[in-house]
Amino acid sequence: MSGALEGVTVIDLTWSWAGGLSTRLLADLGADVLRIEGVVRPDWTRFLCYKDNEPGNVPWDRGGYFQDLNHSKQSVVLNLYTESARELLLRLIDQADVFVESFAPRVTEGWGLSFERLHARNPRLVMASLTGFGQSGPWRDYSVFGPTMESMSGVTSLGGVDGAPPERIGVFYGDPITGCSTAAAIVTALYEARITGQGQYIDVAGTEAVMSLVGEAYVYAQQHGEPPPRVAGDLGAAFSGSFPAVDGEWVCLSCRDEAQVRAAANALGVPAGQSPADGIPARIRALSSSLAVEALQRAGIPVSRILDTADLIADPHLEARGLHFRPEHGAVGDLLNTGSVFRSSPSVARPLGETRPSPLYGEHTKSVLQSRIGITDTEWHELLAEAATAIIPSQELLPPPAPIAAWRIQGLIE
Amino acid sequence: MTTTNALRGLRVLEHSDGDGAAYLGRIMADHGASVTRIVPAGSTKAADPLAAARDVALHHGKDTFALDLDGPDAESQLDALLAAADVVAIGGWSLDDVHPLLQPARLSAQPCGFVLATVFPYGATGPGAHRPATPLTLSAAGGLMSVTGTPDAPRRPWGRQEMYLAGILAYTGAVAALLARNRPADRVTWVDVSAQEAAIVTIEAGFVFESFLHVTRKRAGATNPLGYPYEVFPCADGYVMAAIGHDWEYFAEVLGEPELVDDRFLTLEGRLMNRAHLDVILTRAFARFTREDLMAIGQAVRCPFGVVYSVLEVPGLEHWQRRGSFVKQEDGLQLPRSAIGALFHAERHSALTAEATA
Repeated sequence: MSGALEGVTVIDLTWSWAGGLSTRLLADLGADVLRIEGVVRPDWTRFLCYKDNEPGNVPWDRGGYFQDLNHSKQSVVLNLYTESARELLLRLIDQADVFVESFAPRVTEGWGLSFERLHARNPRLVMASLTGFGQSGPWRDYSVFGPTMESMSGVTSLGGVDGAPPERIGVFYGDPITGCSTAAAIVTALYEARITGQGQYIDVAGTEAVMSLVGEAYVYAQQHGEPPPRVAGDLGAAFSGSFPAVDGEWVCLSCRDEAQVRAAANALGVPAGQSPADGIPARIRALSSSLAVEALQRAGIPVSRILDTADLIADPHLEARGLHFRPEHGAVGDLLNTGSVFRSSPSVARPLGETRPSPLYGEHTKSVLQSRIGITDTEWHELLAEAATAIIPSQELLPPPAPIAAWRIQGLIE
Repeated sequence: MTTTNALRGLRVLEHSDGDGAAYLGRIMADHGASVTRIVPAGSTKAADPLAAARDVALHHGKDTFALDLDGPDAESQLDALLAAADVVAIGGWSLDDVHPLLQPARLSAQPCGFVLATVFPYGATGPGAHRPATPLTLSAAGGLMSVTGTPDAPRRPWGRQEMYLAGILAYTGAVAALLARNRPADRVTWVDVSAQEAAIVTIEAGFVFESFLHVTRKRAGATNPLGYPYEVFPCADGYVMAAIGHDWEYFAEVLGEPELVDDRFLTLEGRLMNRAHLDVILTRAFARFTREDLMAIGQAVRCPFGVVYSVLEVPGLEHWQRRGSFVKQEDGLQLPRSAIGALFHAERHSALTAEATA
């Protein structure tokens, strides 16, 4: 059994994080995802985070970002600057259920990949276009990256605390939100196509996806004429906050009412007569974070240490749920990938045992073109000769390794 | 506020004292499903203004069914509702706080063909599943607080965004399960999503750092370790999100700051090493411009600049008005569409293209 979307074919012409994540979620649910990769401008995530920061002889197969975002997909290299490759892509799309792309609005039309044309050839096709601001409106051609989506949605203005400047979330937040929302939109359209036999076009504006996560902030602002409060803890809690422990780690706890505040104070050994507001932070400062968390958990208080990526990789609960896995990758070995977030019934998500490592560059080009379109060996060699496909990408624009030394000097990483 | 009718005919039962399952229900309702919330008999509207705003944002378009879960007929009433449901969404901030009749283990054993979607802070399975959480502790456990804020002042995303993201993922899994060709008709198909894991999806890049480069990302305040500048700057009338990549020299020219065209600043590594010096120059330069001007300057050279808008401003912005990103309710409130954006049917696509071209 390979998951709920077994039999669904996705043609993935996306770029970078949001698009890659959207189709990875579909692959996690069992879809066959064909990752169409360019020759002149291959996905830049292939060159981000080389294993051990060493590009090696095949840098395009050593990039960590690509591997994390593309496991269980197949790599098909097509040079869309050639007519032959564009025709091959059309023939793949003719047989597909979903076509996803994340180029600027006019790029795909320039390649002859408008929805009108594709829909006429394959009426049940679901097509999704990912951009930051959508296919319409005055900002449709604006450049965007994750933090832009965050700022333009109003989410950055909500970051930080009242009286201080706005603070951005510490990741390229708009990208994963867009990726998750796109996957949700695609399964919705597939559901309707199953009933009607008709596909549809999905206009994903990443900034709208981010906006949807703070709906109550817009409602509050309209009702009260001002943005909602910004606090460091939990709004409405009797006591909450983040406090450093003796080992330098941070402990976050939240008590909904006075009974929980007293329970927290008792669990931590706050002396009688000292107020919980003073005593709880003081006791946490005197304890190791693990001791403080254990004591509060035993008392039933919502609490967590601030976990970083090293903690999360080692987390026994996540290990038991099977979030992480280490596929054997041809170029970098068994490095950790983030697995499926869908759990429980075996018929829903692709079992981890069937999860494949991310593909090598062009690993499946020939086999896919032969099995799905029926090209012959002779035609394959002709495609190579006319540069409609390739075994390795153009090496003119290969980026350098990450500037780790600069990051370390600034203290941004350990 | 139906966005499309893609899910018309689908019957959804929802019970959640958290927000992930409620958000799943919101998306379902937006797309034409008939969503019924099971609420405790005698429950009242939220008094806290932000909680009341959240209720509006999460629950419009749904029906409610008041059920006394401790009453003598509760089990039979509930089982009748379950038998008629296509999707059952259950969630909360603590698995242990869910009434025994609605515990996932009980629901998953029903002799019904519905899809059960569960959304809890740590999921419904695993050794830590029973830990309670709040928005703050979830942000800590999901890793976002390890990279948000400064070393001495950790921050978290405003509101309950990790839970809503978990709701989007649970929605995706649930609809995919409905599509499954081999879904049993007499057995529950269970999709379980953990909000902690949903949060982890947003910091996956950090996992790659850890796994491939052996480095742990830390809180860096407004700065971004990957490049410079990719951060918030003050300007004449507010704040902008400044982002300059390969077009540094061109941007410097358009901004009218020749000092930026210095050999020390022309590479990413050089800019990172001279961050403090550049902060001074850019802060001084940006103070001469409004945020809209700076966005226009940046976008003119393909740098993804953006304005830091407040949530008070966003619904009225022309771009979102033109796209219909907010939908006005009868009471005049404008609500953002749910997470999955606009699904344009084929016959509507030509109208979209014409509007875009205009």
